[in-house]
Amino acid sequence: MVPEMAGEILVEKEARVHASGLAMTIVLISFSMLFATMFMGYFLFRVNAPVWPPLGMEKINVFWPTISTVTILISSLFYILFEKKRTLGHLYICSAFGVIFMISQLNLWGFLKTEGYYLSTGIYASLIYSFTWTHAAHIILALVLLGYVIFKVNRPHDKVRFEIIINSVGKFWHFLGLVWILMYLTLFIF
Amino acid sequence: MASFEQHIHDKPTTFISKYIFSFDHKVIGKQYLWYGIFFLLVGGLMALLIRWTLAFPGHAMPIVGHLLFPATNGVVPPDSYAMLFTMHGTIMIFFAITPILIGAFGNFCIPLMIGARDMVFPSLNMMSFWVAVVSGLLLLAGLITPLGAAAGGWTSYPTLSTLLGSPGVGQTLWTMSIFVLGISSLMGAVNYITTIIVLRAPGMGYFDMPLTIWGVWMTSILNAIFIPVLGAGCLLLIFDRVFGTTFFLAGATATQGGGDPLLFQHVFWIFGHPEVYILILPGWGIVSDLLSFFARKPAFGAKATAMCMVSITVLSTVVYGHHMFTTQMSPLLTQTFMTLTMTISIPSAIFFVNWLGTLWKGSIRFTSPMLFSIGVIFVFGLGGLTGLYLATVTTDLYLHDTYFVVGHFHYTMAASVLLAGFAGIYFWMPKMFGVLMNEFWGKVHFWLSFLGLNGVFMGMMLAGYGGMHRRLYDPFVYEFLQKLIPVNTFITYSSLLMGGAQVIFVINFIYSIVKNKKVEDNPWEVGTLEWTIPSPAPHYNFKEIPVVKCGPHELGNPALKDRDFQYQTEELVRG
Repeated sequence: MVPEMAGEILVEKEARVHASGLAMTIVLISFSMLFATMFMGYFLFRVNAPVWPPLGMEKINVFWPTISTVTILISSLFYILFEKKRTLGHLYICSAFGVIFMISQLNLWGFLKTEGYYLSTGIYASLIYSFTWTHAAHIILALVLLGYVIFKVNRPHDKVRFEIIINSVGKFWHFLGLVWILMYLTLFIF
Repeated sequence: MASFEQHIHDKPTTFISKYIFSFDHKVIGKQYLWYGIFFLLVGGLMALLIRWTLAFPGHAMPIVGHLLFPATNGVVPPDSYAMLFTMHGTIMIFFAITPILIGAFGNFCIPLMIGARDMVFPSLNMMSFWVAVVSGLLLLAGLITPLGAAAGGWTSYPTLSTLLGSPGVGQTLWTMSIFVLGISSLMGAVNYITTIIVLRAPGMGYFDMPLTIWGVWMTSILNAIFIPVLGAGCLLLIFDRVFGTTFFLAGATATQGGGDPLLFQHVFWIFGHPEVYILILPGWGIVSDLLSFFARKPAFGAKATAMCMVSITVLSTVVYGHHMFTTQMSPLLTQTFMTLTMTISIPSAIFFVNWLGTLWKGSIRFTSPMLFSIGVIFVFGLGGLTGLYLATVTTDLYLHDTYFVVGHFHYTMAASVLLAGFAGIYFWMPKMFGVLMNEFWGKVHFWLSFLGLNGVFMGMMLAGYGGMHRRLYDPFVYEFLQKLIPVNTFITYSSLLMGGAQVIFVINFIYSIVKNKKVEDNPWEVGTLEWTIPSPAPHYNFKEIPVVKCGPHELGNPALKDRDFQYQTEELVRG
């Protein structure tokens, strides 16, 4: 942490960690507005519908969403452990569970198709698809970033830069986990 | 928050690293300036075509008309007319004002005015510009698709913007373009906010920042929060158009039912109302500074001005409903939004008093940047006051979607932002290119533009008050509007005057750059940090990071001996 020192010039590298943390927070505020808008749309559709799900649709089975929730929670947990202990093993487990999350999402979409829920079959299915697709697009980005962290761990020549990457990717990964849990609770459970 | 000293980058040597993929905030600022001026010309030409069609329906516009619409003998056909006003709005808002005011001045001024060597993330800054280029290409690509560009208005309300209203690829490209531009704006905003927080020179508190920086800062905060809202709307619209969902289609138009066209309006204006402040805040900042610089006295109530910007920023997020009074909102909501909207007049009025207070008893130097700044006071005053009639539910029901609205928002968003942008260009020309623009032609440019734009927008308000609706191809097929033909002809002649005046600017701008007559480092005699370094600014900005000891508007202090201003790096002189 950089202490408060108004009027004093700090070492560039030290302060960069601080600046990047701030920037990442702003980015995440932005991303959360994107999801918040989608949630707003979801709630408007939901409160305006006489019954939910509308148009005689059935609520979908929560099996795959639950698997996704568990995997993304475990993954986030291992990232926290990695941040604390800096052990490569934790990072690998975290990334592996990230990939499993993506696989469970693919299974969810496959399951939806076998049930006859396509993107254009009514507002209920459309919402589930557009939420999960938007979220999955961010997950893919995050997996690429996790791969980058693994790549960097093996070549730690610039310690400050490495620190910035770990912090930022971590924030992003936990954020996506949080969004997923909100989606799980609102779209699938209640 | 502490600041830190960035190391000095090596001077770029190749053409590509110097002018194309440059990390230097000054070069990126200039790239944004050229980008914005290019789109300003395209959008301006579209405006002239719209005006020609309204004043002389069925007549070909000389030269341009025959070039663009050979099939109809030079006359703008109705479908192209819809594309013209859609693209005019989109281009002017997202591709002209945003790049010039936020992209160019934001990039150029922030590091120079807060005493930094560059933005905190230079490569993010470069990416932001090139993503904006991609977005501009996407938008322009719409013009050459088989069914033409987007034609649903700049607001792109469903169902006009869904496949039912516009089946062509143009609308999809429009939506994608706005989404991509949002990514670019977000990159810029993150960079600006972080830079202003962490890279202020030692000794520079937030209230020691020039008001320009306050304006850009508030704009960036709004951008970072509300651009993604439009992004989500665009995303769902793309889903509707490409994947066959029905988020924005309702009733019989949606085969499976369940969608809601109004949802897009909500999402659009939750973003859209902050957007109008996104556009004007940098302009306000520039004008607040320039008025003080050229009235040769401290900005009256500079802290209050800054705090007004903050409160307007906050209030702008809770008033969006006034765009939707005619959508069968509950009266309770309309009154709430009306009251909240009216509340914005309080900080705005304080703002105005501060501007007038700055001018009061100043020894004003009527240079061209100053003329443009005073012009902003006038046009924004008019624009703001006419806004009250649109914020009030009872009058809005009559005025909604008339040319009164068009006149109002052009006064606030087009006229004042344009004048503030010109003020900024004339003012920072020495720091950007190391030259001064011709003062005489600058003043001619101001007076012709000022007369022209008042003719146009005042005329529009009259026409709107007379009942003329916006977006009509030929309003005069309605008998009750035929009496408005003379007004419309007048508006069109005024717009030609205004358009012609910009030729003076372009020639003046390019001539002074080509002639390259060097000016001294501080031709305007002001004390903010960018004037302590050579003109044009060297690639590292500051050899030594400056230490700030006083505010940005220390002018006309009687204790000063040999000059009437002092630099921010100097200890405040006391009598």
